[in-house]
Amino acid sequence: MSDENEEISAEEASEALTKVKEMQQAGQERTEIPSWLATLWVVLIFAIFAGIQPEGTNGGLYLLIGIAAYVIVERQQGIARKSTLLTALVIFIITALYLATVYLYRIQGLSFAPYIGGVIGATTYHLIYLASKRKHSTSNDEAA
Amino acid sequence: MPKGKFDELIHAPNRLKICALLAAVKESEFRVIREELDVSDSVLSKQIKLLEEANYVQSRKVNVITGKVTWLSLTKTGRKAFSEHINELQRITELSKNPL
Repeated sequence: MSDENEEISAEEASEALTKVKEMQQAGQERTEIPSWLATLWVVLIFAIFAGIQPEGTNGGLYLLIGIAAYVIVERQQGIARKSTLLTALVIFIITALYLATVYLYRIQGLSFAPYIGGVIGATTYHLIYLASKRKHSTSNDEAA
Repeated sequence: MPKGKFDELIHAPNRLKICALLAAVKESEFRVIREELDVSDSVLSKQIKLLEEANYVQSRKVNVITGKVTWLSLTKTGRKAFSEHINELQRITELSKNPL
């Protein structure tokens, strides 16, 4: 389906490259998590961690619901990232940190663990969110 | 400069935009591409069909609560062809800036 003999002007080529860049930027922008959702996540992560109790059920269920909602919202944007590594990384880090916090609080008896865990969890998520935004803008610069 | 190859199929305005959008992501829903291109379903379907016939684009239908959605992505062949087409466009642009 290709035609190596096709000749187009430099102006037409330049216009085509501009359109390509615009579309790639549109695609990249749609892969970004909305800022309101990112902020909600920061608050939710801290609340779930800080809400860990010495006994009984914790906010683990809410964390799982939150993770499911996170994945669903991403899919509802109608576009999927080239790599789902970032989402997997967020889920892995938050889950591991949550389990570690529960262990430190309940088994080791560190009373401040939920708050420290909450701050670390919320900060980690926010930094990953900012890093993903920077990565997108870098990709846009390199595109086309 | 990387190897370039002009591709007439990709170069058509709507198909170029479709490939550009799909090249930037892993896959995209049909409706998202339609919104970005601001074209009708039938126009987009026709362009997608041509790209599918050339094995540049692949589609998969997914059942959701509200019905079926179509996800589209570039094939390996499609990514290579698009990349080579972009390289050729860049070569043409560069050539005009630095004529021999």
